Amino acid sequence: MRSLLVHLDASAACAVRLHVARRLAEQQGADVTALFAVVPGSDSLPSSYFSAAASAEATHAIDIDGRRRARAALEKALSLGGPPVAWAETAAEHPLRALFRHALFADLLVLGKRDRFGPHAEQLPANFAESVVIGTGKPALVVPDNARAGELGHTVVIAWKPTRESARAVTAALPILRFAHAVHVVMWQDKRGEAPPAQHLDKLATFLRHHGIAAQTHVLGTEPAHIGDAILAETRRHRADLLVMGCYGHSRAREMVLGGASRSVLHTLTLPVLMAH
Amino acid sequence: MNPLKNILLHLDASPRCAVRLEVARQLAQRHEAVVSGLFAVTSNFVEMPFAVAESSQAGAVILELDAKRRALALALFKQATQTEGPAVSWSELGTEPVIWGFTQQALYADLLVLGQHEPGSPTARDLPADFIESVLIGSGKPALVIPYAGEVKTVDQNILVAWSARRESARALQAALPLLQKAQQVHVASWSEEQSSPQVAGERLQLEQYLASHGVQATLHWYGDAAGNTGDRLLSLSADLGNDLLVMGCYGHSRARELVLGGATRTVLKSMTVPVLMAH
Repeated sequence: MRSLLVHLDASAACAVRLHVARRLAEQQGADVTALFAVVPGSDSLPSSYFSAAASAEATHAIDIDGRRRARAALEKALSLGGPPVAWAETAAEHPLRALFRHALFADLLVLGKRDRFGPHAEQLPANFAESVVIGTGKPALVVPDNARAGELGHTVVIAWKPTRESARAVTAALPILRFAHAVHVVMWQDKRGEAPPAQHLDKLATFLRHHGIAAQTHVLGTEPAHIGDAILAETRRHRADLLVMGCYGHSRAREMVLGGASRSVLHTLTLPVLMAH
Repeated sequence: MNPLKNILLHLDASPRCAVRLEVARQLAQRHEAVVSGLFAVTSNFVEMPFAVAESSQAGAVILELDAKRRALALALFKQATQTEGPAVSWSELGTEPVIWGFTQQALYADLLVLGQHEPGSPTARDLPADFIESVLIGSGKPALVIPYAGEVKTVDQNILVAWSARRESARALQAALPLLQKAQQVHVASWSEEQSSPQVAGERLQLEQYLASHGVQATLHWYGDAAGNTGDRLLSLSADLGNDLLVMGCYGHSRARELVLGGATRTVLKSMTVPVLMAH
């Protein structure tokens, strides 16, 4: 892992994201680039409130203010020591397009996951994190805005399914797993009753062992109805500080259609999750 | 980025299998990886008309055909693994459909080694014609595809990467990093309509930085948009440069139950003469 791209907006949670990204960069010997990208202010204010000129001025001021706050969060983090961070920003570009363009050259993205009803919710399009993961095809570490700035990747839970999305997430997580103290792989028997989980878990454990990673595997019975909640319960049971899972979904027209587990995990996220599509 | 540790090799009853096996062992040696061979072919039952296959007499004949083919593949495998070198394990699929079964096993590999489809060969019907692209898209794993003709000595000395600013291309590049890091020569070729625009210049710089950060020194070839098929251009460029490996994205998606492949991907899979590393 050589290059991390961390997304910044104008929210206070940038500090958490930066912290996570820089800890990881230190561990991996990677470079960090921070990309400031939000929906240009003009999109998020109802234009009828202002005359055209006043509106342009107001939104411009909002944009500059947001950028200043993100920049301040970065400067503050840098002043406390640690690895350097390169700064990148976009002017009038839509944040999704900016991420797509920059992500091509990153090994891992670090994104936030905001409370839908919290402040600054209007800065980004709905389902921003999942749109980026699916659109760029790059793995992303999604850090909830209220995450504690503690350990990351000390104890890891992998929610495994024999799918390409899961496989991609695990491959992307390998450099982090190498540093983990405990790796737990959990798998449920799917409802169609195809190949038994134990066989798959053996294969995965061998794959990980060849990469120098010792994992404990857990077969968990039939897949429950609320699989997302069950996955998060497993992370609490193992006191995990990182979850690794596939991100299932596709974009239909302009709307994201997420799989059930991805949706519920992302909406009630309590710990950082490494996802890939 | 990630080291190459688990290689999944496709085995069948074609003599060309030995070449694939040798390439896989060579990679295993250089990267300290483990090679798992998986014998996977379509049962002759599937090829037969239903009514014929159902009659008990024909059934017995087909079973015998399958068994003979398996014995032949196993003999070829044993012969090819007799020489000194890294061990290769043998395993085989059960009765599941060959694409699905192979894809499931592919999930537990870092790299797949497959053979190019050779239409009209005696073993052409052993696999679906779209086996390679189906496995690539289904598993999301990168695959090294070995051409059905010509000598293959190395796959990591002089590499050509076909670049375009798309996720498939970025994935292929990332998957090839362990090979690129050991290569003597790396060329990156890209075709772009506006090669002098600031955006393209920025992309070139970023690509160079990305490669450098992974310890890869590359020569960049940036071409303007020219007439003709990108696949043909790639193949002729790789012949001119004398490459022993071509790296490119596999562009395609499944529409209804049919795979729709991008033009360059189709051309290269059909007409390649050097090994190709592809990722979706």
